Amino acid sequence: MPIKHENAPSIGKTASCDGYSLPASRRNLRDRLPKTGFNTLKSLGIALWFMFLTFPIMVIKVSPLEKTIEWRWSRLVYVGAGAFSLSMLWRFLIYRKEAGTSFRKPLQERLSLFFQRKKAARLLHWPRLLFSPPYSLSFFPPTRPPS
Amino acid sequence: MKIMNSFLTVLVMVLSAAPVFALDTIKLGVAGAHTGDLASYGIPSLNAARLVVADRNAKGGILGKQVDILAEDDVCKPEVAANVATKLVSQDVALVLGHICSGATKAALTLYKDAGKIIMSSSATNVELTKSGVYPNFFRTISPDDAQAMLQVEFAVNTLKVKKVAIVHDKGDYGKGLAEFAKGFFGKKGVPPVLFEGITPGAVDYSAIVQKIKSSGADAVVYGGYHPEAAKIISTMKKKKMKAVFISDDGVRDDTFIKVAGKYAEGVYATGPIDTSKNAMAIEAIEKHKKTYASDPGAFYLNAYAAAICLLEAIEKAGSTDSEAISKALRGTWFDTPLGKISFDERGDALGIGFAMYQVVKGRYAEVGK
Amino acid sequence: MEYFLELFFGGLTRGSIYALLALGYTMVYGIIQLINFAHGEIYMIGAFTALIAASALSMLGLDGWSLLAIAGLAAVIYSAAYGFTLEKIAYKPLRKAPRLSPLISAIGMSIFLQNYVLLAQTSDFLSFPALIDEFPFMEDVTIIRSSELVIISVTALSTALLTIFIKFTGIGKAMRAVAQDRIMAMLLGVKVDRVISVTFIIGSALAAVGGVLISSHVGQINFYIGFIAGIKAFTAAVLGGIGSLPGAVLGGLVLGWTESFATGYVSSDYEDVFAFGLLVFILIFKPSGILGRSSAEKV
Repeated sequence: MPIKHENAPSIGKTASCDGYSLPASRRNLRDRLPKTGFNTLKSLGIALWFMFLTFPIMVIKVSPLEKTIEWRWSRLVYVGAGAFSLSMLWRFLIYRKEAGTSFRKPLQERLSLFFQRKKAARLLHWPRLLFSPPYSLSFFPPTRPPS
Repeated sequence: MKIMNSFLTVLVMVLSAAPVFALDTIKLGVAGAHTGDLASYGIPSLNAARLVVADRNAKGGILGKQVDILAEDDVCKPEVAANVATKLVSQDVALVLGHICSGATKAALTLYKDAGKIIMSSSATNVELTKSGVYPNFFRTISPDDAQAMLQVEFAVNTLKVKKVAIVHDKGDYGKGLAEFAKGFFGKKGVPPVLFEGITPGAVDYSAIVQKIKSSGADAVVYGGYHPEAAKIISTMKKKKMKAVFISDDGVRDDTFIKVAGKYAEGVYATGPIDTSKNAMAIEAIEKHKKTYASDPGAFYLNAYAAAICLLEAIEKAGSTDSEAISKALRGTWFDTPLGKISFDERGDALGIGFAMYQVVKGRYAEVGK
Repeated sequence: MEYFLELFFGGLTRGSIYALLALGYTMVYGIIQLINFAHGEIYMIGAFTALIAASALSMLGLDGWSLLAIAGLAAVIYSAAYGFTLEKIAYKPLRKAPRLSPLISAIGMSIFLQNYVLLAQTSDFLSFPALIDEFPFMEDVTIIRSSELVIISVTALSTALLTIFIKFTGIGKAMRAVAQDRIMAMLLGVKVDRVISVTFIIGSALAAVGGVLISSHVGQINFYIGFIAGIKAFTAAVLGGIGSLPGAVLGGLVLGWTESFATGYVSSDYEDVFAFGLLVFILIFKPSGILGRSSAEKV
């Protein structure tokens, strides 16, 4: 059994459990990212910092000969958006690294189970039924995954 | 899994089939400094090549095939130039227009010679490239440095009547080569230089060398090198209220020099290719550049334009992309170019091209004596 | 004699700029044992920021000393910000990594910042306005120029201020403590992260001051100036004893004078040969630099 990381909340269970829990994927993802609101704010702060930092060099283009200043505001937006997404990604990866095995293993198992269940659900797939009834019977029920 | 595999197989097959479609073109490699601090020398040549090739392709191409330009950037550094040469040779270019800086050209020449590729430069002026005879595949549409140095020396001695001259160079192939020639010619004219020194490009400041020039009492400074250092030296000289005249080469005969040095550039002399503003082809070429790139062409534009024309017409004349045939065609025919009627001698130097002396007057280069 | 004095002041000017940069190198090394190769780029960014600020403001009509002050202030603020951010992104995550990793990270950030400025601005050489006006009373003096005088005095002032800061303030004491023994300082309650950030900020601010001054003096900047200045300043810091503040200043001045006199009396061709030859010579006889403390590794 993987060690439970203190931050990872308990995984919800659904009706078709078979010794191993398999919640709906979307709810699972949100549960796996605690304090999302706080993280978003922090990333926003970082984005603003980078917008300030790169402001003179990226946004302002001065031409002393023609005595013009060109303001490239679109670049500011790119920097902000890029910094925001990168910092969110960075935090997610750091969280994943710190969560260690308790994050990775369930993901793999979750995916393999997902596909197995998909196969199982195709019990009533008419071509298979048509061509080899015994073949289809072997996919039911789903086997217990190795823990 | 299997679907993924078959998809990948099909993708690889499709991608490997792509080069097949690019078979029937003549590849012209254009190598030079397209980025970096010397890009102002390389970009006009690239633009010239593009305009000439577009023109020819519209008229049906060369020998019935379209011409493709493969532009490669060597930032005027010899080590990068060698890589660029290898790359262009491996991509099977028929000819190369480049490189821009003498040092970079020299580094790349051996590779081109071994591969049997013809290369023509619009700006590499180091004398050894042609005079040594080691590179029979090298041509250029600009006069070599010794002609430039001769002009500088004659102008300084005959027109400006200098008595003491200080020669400074940037230790590079181009600058040092020019400086050495100038030293020799000055000696022959009976005005041995009081100072002959090299500076390191990119140093923090040059006040020490300027002080040395000042204490040597020279009334003219001949500088061999590129415009960044020249701008720094001239501004330091002017700030120290030195009266010495500043004479330099075609590496400084560039509007960027005036832009960077500002008011300190006033009165600076520099040699450059002969003014061809009366030539009809030259006017047309400049017009085309203004229309396509919305700016005036920069240094060596007309030289590169002429080089591109000579290369393409030589292929036509030779009837193939065989280097031997093209060599013969280049040496045997007179081409109509924006620089006038030019041809090439056995060493690869252009016949019909020369240098003139320019001076910065009211913020622009103007030919002296016209 | 005049020639000697000219070379002397020229070397002093150059040495002052090297000293300002070397201080940044030496402080960072003293605190986290890392050679911050990206320091030269901070200097370059300071110069660029000053250029942009000065051009923008001069178009709005500002002139003279206020222009220099505001452009300089902008350069200092932004360089400090870049130094702070650099530390947080590139060096802090690697504090527990083997010594080589932050070094490579520093080299990488140096290249990154060079190309960042190259792409965001331009590869051309840009003309830098002479923000330091000529003093009227210096009109007839030929051995030294106004801008050289300003550079020398500003450097002297900055060094003095830095010394006061390190010796007499709380944070200065904390910096000295962290430089001596980081773990012990942490155990005694010193906020090590804060101290490291302050070190980077001060070092970068000094680099920016140097950048603005020398660019006004020389008149042109380029995305690449940080590289050579950085290498020379690093040499100066090692020459004077890396980790020692007076050593950094001394190293910078010695390097500047060596280059200047070598050019003036021998030949400009050999200026670098003399400078680096001196470095090797000193290191052979005193491996930790002129004023370096040969600190034994504490067990």
